[in-house]
Amino acid sequence: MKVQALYFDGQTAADRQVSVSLDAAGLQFSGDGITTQTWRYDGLGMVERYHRAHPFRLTHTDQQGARLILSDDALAQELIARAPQLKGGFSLKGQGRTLAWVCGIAGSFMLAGYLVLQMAPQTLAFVLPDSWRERVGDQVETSLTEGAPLCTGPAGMSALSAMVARLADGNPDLPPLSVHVYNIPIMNAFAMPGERIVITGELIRRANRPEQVAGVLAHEVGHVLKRHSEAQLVRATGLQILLSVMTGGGGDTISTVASVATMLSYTREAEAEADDAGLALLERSAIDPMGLKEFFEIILAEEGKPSTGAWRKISSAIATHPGTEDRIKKIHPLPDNIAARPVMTGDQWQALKKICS
Amino acid sequence: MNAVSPPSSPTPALAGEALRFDYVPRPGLFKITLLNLVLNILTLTIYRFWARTNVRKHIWSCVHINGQPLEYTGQGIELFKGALVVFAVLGLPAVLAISFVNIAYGPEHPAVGGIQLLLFLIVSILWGAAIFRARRYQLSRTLWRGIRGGLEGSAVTYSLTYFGAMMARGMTLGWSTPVMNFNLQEQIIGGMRFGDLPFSFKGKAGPLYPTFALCWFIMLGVIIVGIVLLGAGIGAALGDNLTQIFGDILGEQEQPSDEQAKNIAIVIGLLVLMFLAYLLIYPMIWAIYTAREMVLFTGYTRLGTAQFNLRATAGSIIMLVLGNFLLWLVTLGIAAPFIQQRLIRYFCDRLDVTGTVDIDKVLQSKAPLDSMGEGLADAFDVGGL
Repeated sequence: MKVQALYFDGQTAADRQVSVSLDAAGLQFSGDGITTQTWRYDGLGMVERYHRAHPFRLTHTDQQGARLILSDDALAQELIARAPQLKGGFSLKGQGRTLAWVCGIAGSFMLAGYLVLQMAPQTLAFVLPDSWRERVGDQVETSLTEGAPLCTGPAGMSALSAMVARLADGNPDLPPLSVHVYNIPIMNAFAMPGERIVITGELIRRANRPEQVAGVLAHEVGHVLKRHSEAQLVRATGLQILLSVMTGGGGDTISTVASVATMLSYTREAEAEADDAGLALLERSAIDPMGLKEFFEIILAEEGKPSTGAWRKISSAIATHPGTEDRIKKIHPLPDNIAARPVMTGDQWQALKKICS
Repeated sequence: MNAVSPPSSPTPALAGEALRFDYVPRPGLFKITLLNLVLNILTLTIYRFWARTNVRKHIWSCVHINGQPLEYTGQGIELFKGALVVFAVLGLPAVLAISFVNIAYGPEHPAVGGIQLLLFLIVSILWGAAIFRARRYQLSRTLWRGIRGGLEGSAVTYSLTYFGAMMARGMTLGWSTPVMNFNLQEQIIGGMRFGDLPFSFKGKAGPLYPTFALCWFIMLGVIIVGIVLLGAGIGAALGDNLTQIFGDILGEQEQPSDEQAKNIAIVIGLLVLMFLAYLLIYPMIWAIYTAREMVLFTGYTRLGTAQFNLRATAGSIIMLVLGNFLLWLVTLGIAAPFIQQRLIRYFCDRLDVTGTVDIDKVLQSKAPLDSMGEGLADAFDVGGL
């Protein structure tokens, strides 16, 4: 069977009419000024899959750029029977390899991401220089409190210092802490990079006795000791780097910094760690840990109530505190051989309650 | 063997053939779009290089010149390698620098802004190179009748011209645009090759100026009218309260009364309305200039003795852009391949060529093929198609 076809040799743009036939060695063609050539079957490729009544464009590995265009359906079908790679469709060798490449690349990014986000942050958090943590903590505090007034009632301030000092009683290696109260109308407390702790005025107003505030403070000091917020900062940065690697690093993906919310929403494990560390601090300072339990019970009563207003973003951070009931169960009274000592005098407590007024 | 003449044209008296562009659509783009979407999601966008390649293969093969389709021979892995190199050289240092400053000095430190400004400058200077290199890659991967295209010239020169054009545009209130666009287009078209046959770009930027001036002054008028309307609108809406409102905005912040809050809302509403109107009017006015520029620049383009002509009009460009914008909006960008198809189709439908090209004499390009492509363009998202 001899059939007419169009041939481009890949050297000039001239089109040549050739007559094509199939024999045992391969596809053979010749034409005006073209000596007979044979394209081996195994070297044949195609520009696109064969469709009936459409020109079938062939390539060959031995002749870069050359194209042979068959318009005869019978010949095309016979050719496909002899050179099965021209059947097209999904093949492991072709698309399979591409897919393996792409999945391999995506997989290694995800593995790198997992490692970066799981292992590195907690380690790096203890390597960051103090001056960095100080600067970042300062800015996080400013942006978190969003211009809310800092409570500076002098008597309240000294009562707060007394509470911190009382916690340091049994824990002499506690780093120097910066504890601020802001007049924010939601009940919460935050630990930030650089040994900073922020307590809301609402939390102090709602507390019934100093042990409740001391319990919360001890929990936040637990976060500080474990450097959880520094770890979150590293984690958020790592995530940003990873995202920009994957998406090509262009445009918005390099947003300036992870939002405060991300940095403050700890994992379940981090909360449990902070609870344990906080309870140990309380025990060594002989402060009744049931205050923390009572505070959790107040939160439990709050949960489910929708929060509104400007502080919504912050109060939603509370919702990320996992399983309050489980955490309550872990809190036990001081052992019998330790007698609880008061956190502060009644006068100091009254002063602390009024720190924001 | 009887010599059958090439399918489309009878042999003309002159040596060579006339050129005819057709867009011959065929099914399959929808399937490609869907598959790309799914794989992009599954691979967290890593598939995008292969996705783009699949779309190009399809669209290229629909463009027929004298009955023979174009063929796109690029590969996803080439785009991926290009992006990887650019990321290693430019993207990663940038990300690390920003991350470092964020952690060391905090997100609100002035150094963050400083680094971003520096990055902006670097990106601005390289922007033209990204466009040029992407064009070179695409042309070198475009085959017609077995012969590839090419782009000669210097990406550095183009990039500096491009940066200069951006600066000049700001300094001359836009009046440098025609002459700088002419210069940029001259570098691209003048550098283009089909095999060993060069394109040429001959003409002057001068004829662009009447249309440019027209658009510029219409725009100026629109802005003036807009400001007057805005002033009148605020005045009518608020009457005597006007001075009071500015007092409220500028003066000490007390708890605003309901009335004052309402008035401030009216002012803000009017400003937003003006801005939206501007967003709509601006491209429509400049479409007149864009059409003129496309017609002139295409007319300046020659391949051999063939001269190109584009039947572009402001109205058709507005319809094209508006349609594409709506398509993009409604499908959340998923229909991008169809948007590209519409663009290519617009040119194919409206492109005429007078004169002939001696196609049979064209030899294969000797320019070496880069093994990577479009890294910068991917990073800056200016790859075009």
